[in-house]
Amino acid sequence: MDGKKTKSPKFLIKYLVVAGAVCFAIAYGNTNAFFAHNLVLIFLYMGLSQAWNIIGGYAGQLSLGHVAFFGIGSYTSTLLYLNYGITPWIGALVGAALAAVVAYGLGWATLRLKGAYFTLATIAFAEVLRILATNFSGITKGAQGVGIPFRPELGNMIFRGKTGYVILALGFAVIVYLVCRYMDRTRLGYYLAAIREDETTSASMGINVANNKVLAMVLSAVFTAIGGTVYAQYILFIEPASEFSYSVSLNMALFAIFGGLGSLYGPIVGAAILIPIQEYLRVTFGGSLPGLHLAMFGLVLIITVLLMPKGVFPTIQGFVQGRIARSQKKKLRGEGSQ
Amino acid sequence: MILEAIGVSKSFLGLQALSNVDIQIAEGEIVGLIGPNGAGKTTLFNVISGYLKPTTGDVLFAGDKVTGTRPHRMAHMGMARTFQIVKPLANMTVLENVMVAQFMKGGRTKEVRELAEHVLQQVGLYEQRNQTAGTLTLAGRKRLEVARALAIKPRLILLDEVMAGLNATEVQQTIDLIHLVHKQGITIFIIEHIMHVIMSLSHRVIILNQGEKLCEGRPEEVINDQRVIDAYLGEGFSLA
Ligand SMILES: Nc1ncnc2c1ncn2[C@@H]1O[C@H](COP(=O)(O)OP(=O)(O)OP(=O)(O)O)[C@@H](O)[C@H]1O
Ligand SMILES: [Mg+2]
Repeated sequence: MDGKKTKSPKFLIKYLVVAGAVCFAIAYGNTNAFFAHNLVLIFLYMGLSQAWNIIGGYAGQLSLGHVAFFGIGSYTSTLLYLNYGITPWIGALVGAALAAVVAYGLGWATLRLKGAYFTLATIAFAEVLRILATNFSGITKGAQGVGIPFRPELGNMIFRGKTGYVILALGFAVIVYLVCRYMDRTRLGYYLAAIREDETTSASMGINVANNKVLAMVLSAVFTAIGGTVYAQYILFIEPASEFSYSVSLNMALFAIFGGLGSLYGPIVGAAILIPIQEYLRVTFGGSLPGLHLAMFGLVLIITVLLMPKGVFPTIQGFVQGRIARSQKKKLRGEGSQ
Repeated sequence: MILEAIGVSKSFLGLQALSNVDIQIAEGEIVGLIGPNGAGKTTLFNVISGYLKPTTGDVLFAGDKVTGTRPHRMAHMGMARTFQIVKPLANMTVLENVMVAQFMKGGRTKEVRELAEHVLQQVGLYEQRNQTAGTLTLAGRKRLEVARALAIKPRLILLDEVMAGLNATEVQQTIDLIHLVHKQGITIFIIEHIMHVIMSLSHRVIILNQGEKLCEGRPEEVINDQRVIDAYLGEGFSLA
């Protein structure tokens, strides 16, 4: 497993194929705006959903209020940029720091809440932030929202075409992926999974359950906030109704659960499949009958979950591994009979 | 003394589960804890390992007062325990279960994996290492409890009925395992209902009845004690 020499060429091929596909997609996106728009959302949500997966998947704490951190990120960087001329590149980090502090508080406050009670608390928390953002109109301009003037420049994190945003969102997704991959393979990943399985057993193995849960919440919030900044810079307009929209929380959780909860590739697969479906249905049916595209999306979800209750990625992985194991067995039997 | 309980009492909403229990265990001992169902044995383990705060009384570990210290701190100090109602990390593999425990001792994932594999070889679960823990048989799960406890390299290990529900062969394997653990210098405090096992394994036996320490002594002394016979015969037990 750990870096055996024979594996590295295969590894390299895998990465080259992925990199090639991504480059091709970006190049094609350069000529097709709808496609590029999909790419931005896919990459953005790969990162967001991956960030959610830290607390929701690994640690098994089903948050449906992560838009709180998303909104903190987008509002912090935008207000710093508009009021003080601070570049969103720095603003994103300030937003992340602020989200970390808030997540620390929320983490401790909700530590003893289990299951549905934890979920409800996170939903309520995000709602509170949305209401605050609406009512503190002196700072946030309230419900009317804040526009970011279009001044395309790398330093402003604003790009002329969509390709710049595709690369920005991709960079975000890659960073979150790398952090989660590291976590997945080291102590924290094992500890969070253990906490998800059984807190009592975890404690008997020397795990400080409270600290690790709060740490997971903080890590998750930090990357969610950065995603919020990326989104704000892409849309160039923020308002409480969308920056603190429940549907963002829901999508983050949904993509991870759909792709495979608590697995490294789950959120990636989930976002890559569901964003295009969502966008296609919205564009095709969104205009004809209000809500029809949502109903159809729900149908797609129900069917998939019924077919693959563990999520798409683990199911496919299990299938492929099963095939490999069978073919190896066949080979062994073949050799045995000779 | 590696472990001392001084006047430990524990009540649950009026139910007196432990009353004024004194216990001393020296380093290197194997001490058995017996008593009828509901006597308070598991409660005593929970108090010692930090899962429950005693209503009154103190717990000392290696001379330090540890009353009410949280369980994960106790683990770091060198106290391991198993659970009577087995608690595997059911959706993780057997190897991952032990790796989680092994991580407490630090090291890179690769080293942790190797050390965990070594522990699994010791307890005889190596072949099942890639199975999810939830698919193990009861005997396997009991073994996994011991493996996790061993992985944190404890000074004292509390074993709560690790042989309940096992067949004769499995019981014998577990006895051998406990001897092996003891040879590594680990002190053992063990709850067990199977009388011949506790009698042959323990240097000393403590009897708990209705939350009180009835008596203690070498196995052959205790077995002939009239109070013990009464407590057990009342419960329909046989000492043979
Ligand atoms: N958390 C708890 N809350 C309330 N009562 C409890 C709790 N834990 C144990 N008890 C009660 O305390 C008494 C002692 O229970 P305990 O589990 O310590 O007995 P035991 O000696 O381990 O019995 P067994 O041999 O059946 O395992 C029982 O009457 C039990 O119902
Ligand atoms: Mg018990």
